[in-house]
Amino acid sequence: MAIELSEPSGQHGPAMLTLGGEVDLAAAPEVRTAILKQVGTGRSLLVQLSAVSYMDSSGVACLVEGMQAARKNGCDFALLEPSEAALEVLQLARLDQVFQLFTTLEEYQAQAASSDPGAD
Amino acid sequence: MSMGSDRETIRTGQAAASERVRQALARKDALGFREQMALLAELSGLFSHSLDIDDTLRAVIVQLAGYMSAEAASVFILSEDGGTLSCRECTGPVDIRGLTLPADAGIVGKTVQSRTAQMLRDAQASPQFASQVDHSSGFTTHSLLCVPLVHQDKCLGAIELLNKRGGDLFDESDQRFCLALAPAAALAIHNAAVADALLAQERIRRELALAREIQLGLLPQEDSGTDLPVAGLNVPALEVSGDFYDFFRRRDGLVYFDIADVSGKGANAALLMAQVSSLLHHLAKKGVADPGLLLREVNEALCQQLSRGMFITLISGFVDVARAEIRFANAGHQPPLLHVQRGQFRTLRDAGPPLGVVPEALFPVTTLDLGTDSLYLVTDGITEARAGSGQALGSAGLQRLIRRCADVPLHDRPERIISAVGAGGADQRDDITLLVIEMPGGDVRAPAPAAQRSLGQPPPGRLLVRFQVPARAQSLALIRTLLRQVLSQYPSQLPNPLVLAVGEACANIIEHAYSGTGGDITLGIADNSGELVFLLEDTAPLVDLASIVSRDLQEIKPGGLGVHFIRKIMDDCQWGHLQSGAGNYLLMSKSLSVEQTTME
Repeated sequence: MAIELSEPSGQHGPAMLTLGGEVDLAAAPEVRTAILKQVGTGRSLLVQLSAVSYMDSSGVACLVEGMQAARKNGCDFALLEPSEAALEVLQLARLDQVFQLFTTLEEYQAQAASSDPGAD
Repeated sequence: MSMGSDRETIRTGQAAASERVRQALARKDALGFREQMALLAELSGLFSHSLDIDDTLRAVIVQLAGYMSAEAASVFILSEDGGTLSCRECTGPVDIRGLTLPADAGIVGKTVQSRTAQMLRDAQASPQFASQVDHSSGFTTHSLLCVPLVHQDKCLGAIELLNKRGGDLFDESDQRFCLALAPAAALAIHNAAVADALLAQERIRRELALAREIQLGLLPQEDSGTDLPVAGLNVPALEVSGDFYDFFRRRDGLVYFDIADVSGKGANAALLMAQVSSLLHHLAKKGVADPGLLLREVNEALCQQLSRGMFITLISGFVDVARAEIRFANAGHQPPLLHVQRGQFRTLRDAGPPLGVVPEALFPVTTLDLGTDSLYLVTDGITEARAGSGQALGSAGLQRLIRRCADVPLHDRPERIISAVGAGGADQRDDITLLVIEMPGGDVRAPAPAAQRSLGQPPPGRLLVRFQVPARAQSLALIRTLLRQVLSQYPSQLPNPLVLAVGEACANIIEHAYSGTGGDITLGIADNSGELVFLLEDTAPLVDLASIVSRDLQEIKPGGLGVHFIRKIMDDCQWGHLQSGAGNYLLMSKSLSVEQTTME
């Protein structure tokens, strides 16, 4: 499991947390801490899931918790490029309609720009 | 919306139109070619705006007769089968509306058959002229002009003008004018026919909807049976259904039930359904308590009156709640499925012929001690339903759905199973009906005493692998690796869902059973003729089995998804305590049939 933080569109854009490998019960505490820390800054967060090879319900729980915390803080929380393994689990939990899912960073940016010009 | 005011609007519009035509025609005594064209355009426009074809036809022929100085004019319409011509509208001294002639009779017939205009200067001298019209109407025809009404290569009828006033004769310019007007008239008549057909369809649709409402009244009311051990649902393919079911408690406490499928669909099947359903309800309520006798009675009644080729398959029976006993008889219906503990099924095949086919037929009675088992009765609409894959669900698919929904409360279960079939869509081809019978408390699938396991007892079937790992989150990766290796021998199975389900089960043991205190997890995998069996054992304190439930997915919250994943992915899963309180186990199985497990 790997966690990496980046700023794909500079200091003023959303932060991006890239998860890789197997996100299971063993990895969940670290993932949870990283997500909640980022969301706690009040900055919008994208969670990049393209390199996730396995995710179980504890991984899903981290994402749900992150989404709820972001909502409280009034910032965006979106999932980017979920891998097949990640998407399958989200669908099984019927959460694929609950999360904001984007296939590319550009797609997210276009959506963010059109729906919320200057509000953030 | 008020029909009355619409009619008024149409009338007013029509009167204004007629006035415009009259004025247009009055201006036309000495018409040049261009003016004639303008008049034609105006008359044609009337047709294109026509809301009531009869009013429009009448307005046009009255004005046309006036303009042409004809004593009488009429519009004849060819019948749907092309056999007759009848007068739809007319003007003149005699009202011949409704007059019907053979399609080849007279000048009108010749016009329609040849699709060319006919002009006679002396009708009485023409052998073609159908003089019986004159005889019956008392009108004497001298000169005559008749033009066909053709639309899209189909002749719909003709317009006929009779007797130029003042003894004049119709001429070529009259004929040209009428021929030019004819296509617009034909189009308007065609449109009116299409509108009539639509109205008729709408009327039939409303009647069917009404029939459906009556049918629904015959089905048990939703709130009437929540204390009964029977639950049912019917989803019709057409608006009216040929399926039905019924259940109610009799005065003596016995609960009557039936489920049936009438051959054919639509109104006929629905009528028969209503009749048989009432007959059974009445007989069962009156006190007949032998399902074999009940079916004999109904069969005799039906054999005498059913038209050839119609029949009904039906199961009818009684539940004795106090004794947890069911007695039923089957008339050619799909055999009921008994869902017994641990996800096994028994098919109860004893049956007589369908009702209405063999007079004096006998119907064997099956007696069943239901215990904690569940009985499922269905119509073939469910097993023949095609999921997204295009494959019929089949008996195996139905059994899988039943297993998956076994924990749903009895009165919600029919709907849950039928919605999982994907019924109710536009492509549902047959009525679907499902009835479930289960004793109160039967849906609480507590581990059966028969399934008691002792620590170390291997899973049923040919053991593929058995290993023990420390109950720590860090062991999960190892468990997954070993699992994937075993599953690679079974290419028909998608590994991801199974790995996820077993992983979730192990995570639950680590987190909840041991609560992080540590211990071991033993995983055994076996190939049990047609299914893969996964057995997990721990030596943790005994868990409260009632606390292991799938959570409501409507509620968005972190956690609690693991049990949902396990139940969704596996065909069967059973949690239990090991003998002598040695620990807990989870036995899961997954069918090896070609249909793959997906995460959908």
